[in-house]
Amino acid sequence: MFRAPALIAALFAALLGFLVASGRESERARGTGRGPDRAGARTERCVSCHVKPEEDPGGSHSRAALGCASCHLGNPLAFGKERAHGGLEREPGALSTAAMTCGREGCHPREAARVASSLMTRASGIVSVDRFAFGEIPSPDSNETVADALAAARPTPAGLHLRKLCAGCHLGARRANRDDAIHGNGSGCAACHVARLTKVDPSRAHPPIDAHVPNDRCFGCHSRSGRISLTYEGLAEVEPHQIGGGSRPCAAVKLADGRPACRVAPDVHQTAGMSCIDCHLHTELMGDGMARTHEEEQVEVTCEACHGPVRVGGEVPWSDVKDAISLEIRERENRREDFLRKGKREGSAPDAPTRLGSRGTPILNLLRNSSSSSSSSSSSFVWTLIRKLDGVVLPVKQTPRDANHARKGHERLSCSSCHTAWAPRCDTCHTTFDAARTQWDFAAGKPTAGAWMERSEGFSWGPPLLGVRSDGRIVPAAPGMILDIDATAVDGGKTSRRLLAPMEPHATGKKARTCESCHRAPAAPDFEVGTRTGFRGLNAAEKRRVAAARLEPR
Amino acid sequence: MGGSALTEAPPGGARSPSGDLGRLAFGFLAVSALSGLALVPFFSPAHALESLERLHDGMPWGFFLRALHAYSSFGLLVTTVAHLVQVLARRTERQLSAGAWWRSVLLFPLTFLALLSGFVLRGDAAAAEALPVWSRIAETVPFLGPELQRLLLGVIPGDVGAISLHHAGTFTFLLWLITAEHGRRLVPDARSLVLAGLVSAALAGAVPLTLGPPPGASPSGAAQILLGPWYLLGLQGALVDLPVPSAWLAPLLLVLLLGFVRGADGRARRLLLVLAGAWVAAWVGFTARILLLAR
Amino acid sequence: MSSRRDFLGELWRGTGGALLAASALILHRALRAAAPAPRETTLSAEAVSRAIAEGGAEWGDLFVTGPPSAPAALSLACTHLGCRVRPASSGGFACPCHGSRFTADGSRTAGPARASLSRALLERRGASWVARL
Repeated sequence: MFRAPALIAALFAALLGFLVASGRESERARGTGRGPDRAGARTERCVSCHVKPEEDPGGSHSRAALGCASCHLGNPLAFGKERAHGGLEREPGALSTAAMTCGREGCHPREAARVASSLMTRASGIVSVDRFAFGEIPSPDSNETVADALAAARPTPAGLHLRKLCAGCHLGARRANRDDAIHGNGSGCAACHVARLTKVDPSRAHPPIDAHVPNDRCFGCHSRSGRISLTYEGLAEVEPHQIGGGSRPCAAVKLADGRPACRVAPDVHQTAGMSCIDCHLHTELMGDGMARTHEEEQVEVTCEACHGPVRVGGEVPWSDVKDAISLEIRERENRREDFLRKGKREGSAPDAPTRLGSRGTPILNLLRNSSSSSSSSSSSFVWTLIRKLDGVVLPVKQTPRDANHARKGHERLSCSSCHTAWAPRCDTCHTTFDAARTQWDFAAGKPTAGAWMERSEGFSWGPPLLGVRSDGRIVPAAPGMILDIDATAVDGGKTSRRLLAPMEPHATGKKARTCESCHRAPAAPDFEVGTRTGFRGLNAAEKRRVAAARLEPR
Repeated sequence: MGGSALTEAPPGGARSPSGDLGRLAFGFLAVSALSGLALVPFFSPAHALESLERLHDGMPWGFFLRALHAYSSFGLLVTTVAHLVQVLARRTERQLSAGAWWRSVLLFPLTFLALLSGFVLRGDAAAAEALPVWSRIAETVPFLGPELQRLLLGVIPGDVGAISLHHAGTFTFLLWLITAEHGRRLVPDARSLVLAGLVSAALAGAVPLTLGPPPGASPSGAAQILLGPWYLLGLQGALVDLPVPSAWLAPLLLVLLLGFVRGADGRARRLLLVLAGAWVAAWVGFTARILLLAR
Repeated sequence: MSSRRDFLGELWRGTGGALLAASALILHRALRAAAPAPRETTLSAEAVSRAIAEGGAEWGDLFVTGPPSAPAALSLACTHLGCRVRPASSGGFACPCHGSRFTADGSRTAGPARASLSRALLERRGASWVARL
């Protein structure tokens, strides 16, 4: 039989348990949200606590429609904060969980999957060129991704260089593992589609999510290396010592990350108010599902696609378009009578023409309309471009069939060979490894011992050099890696490289460059700028012109 | 079982200390059944996890109610095992008729089934994995496997409606029926009921129960070993190394070993008990096995 | 008299037994009839090509993979006891219940599972693919 001591002990234990439980009960009552607990048609307890208006991203991703857990995961059924936040994704869109967040079934699975194999995620061009520059691989065409490079247990000198300097710029890098300057509101999908908080109301707890990506989200990564984001805006990066002291006038500005730059002429498309996404297609930005090594393989849009002459098959009726994403967007926009409608377009008939990128993706915001000026007798149609961010309609000039564009011997020239006003030049880069310092390591996600130090004797800018690409096209070429590498501190030895990279500088000028700027310029035959003085075969006037166009001596 | 069985003194009574634990087990069964009754209005088999979440954190003292149900069930299991050990140690098994002894031995698999069905009713990730495991094990029973599996788990894949009916109905009814026959009373005595209630309440207050993904789980959900309920860790570990039918063969073996103890004498009884002891040792070993694998 | 009572008792018992047997038979037939039909999953052609481009992707209980010309679906149910296998950090799949391991193409490499993950060839049906498991 149970006796009194057992009863007393059990009573005491139960009382104790009851006290602990009442503490937990009052905590539970305090921690339980008071708001509604539904979002869309689902139970979403998150919204019962996260009730502030500034916690709502709004738009198509509004809290009322999607709740929180669709993007942030966690446990939307739980009441208490601790358990509700179990398995929380603080950075939705990060590629490691994108299949469960943005890429979940019913949302954007196609896009998330494409981004996973896109060049901005793989960054294999950066990796293979870096390895090539260090002399570690015989050609710059390896398929190694930045994730592969970061995963290597024993990094080579180039692997270490990537870890310390280059590997922050890829979509797989989480927010916390980013250089300050690249730091946005997230990685993966969010790197482009989430507004920077500083750009919106700073009191907002949740930035808006949108498809209208302004240039500043591209700027963080694309203002480095090729520096196209800088060039497009008319900014030439310089070294601090070049400000004020140089022989060249410089309207100096300071970039958000502290780098000094000089104001130069912006790209004509920038002057027209166009943004990156007005030209660049979804297959370039989010990938097309194919793993590509270099940027020029991923890019699909060409100058000719908009301005003509259009390649054979580059202009087709919409009924011939195969790209499912564009067709979907077009159908949606047609329904909305919004964005594309602003362009007074010729209805949404299936036989309306569209122009395509090099792999068949239509340029959605390029539309053919009836000519507004009836006086134009040559053609009753004009092509117009709609700016995606504000819907402003711009006329798109078509390349005239004149002597300038049919010059014999110039058939292989790309548009930008002649129409690029200037390109940045970084002719000297001394790269050494300093074992005594510490530097951020993108593989470890924290600073580790050893630092790659870069030192330049100065940047300059001017009409670009031209090079012959592997497909025979003549294109602008930048002295991409003119560098001395001293990797002796990491058993790598010394290397001196003089590499030119084909590039689109994104500095289209109003006027084409002169014949002399190619055929007589000191920069043309070699990149050792300013070292040649004698120009055989030029008369005095030509020499003066060349001298005036001569580039800044270093 | 006639009306007289309900009023007769329990076997052993005050003279046999093994009766104490047995009565306490009945007390726990009653607390478990009553607290289970209190949970019924809040539970929906179609929205198992959601309804439990609402109960757990959305209702005043809901977590306590659920914990009371769970700990009284654990108490039932522990005191039933302890009661058996005492009976075997004191050789009092012959106080029951042979038929009643065999039925009483069946209380063990029934208790495990009742507890396991309760675990599956949680509806969270670990519970969702327990369902196909249980289903596949039942399927390996020869001749009647598929029927047994559908009878226990229902014919609608992923639905826990049938299990919830078995949990609250079949298993509870059988447990109560056999316990009442075993103890020769319809309801537990007041002292055991109060003591079981107090112990369950003490544990329910002091040791919180989990539900759903643990706090701080990684969002990518890396593959880890799911452990399942603590009282089946031995089975989990055994399934890593032994063929699947061992999951029902081994319990059957234990039931037979214990069942035959009543009729055995001397050496035979000792042999049966040694074998049962080896069975328990293997269970403990397999528990360690799965815990090591999960680390 | 007593034999008549015995006979009636036997009759009651016999009828009860027959009733029980008939009920058991009915239940048996009903439970047998409830056997799960071979499950067909329909996948849109786009989802399949997307999964292939991605190097394989989960679709409900299936993992869609294979060359674009002959896509295939792996069942994610572990062949041991049916737990859902998950992609392992070391590649392939791992079962969270009893630690079975499978390669990326579903072959068993370790653990208590004996068979490889079941594999269904996808059949083209109009604009979609059908996986039968």
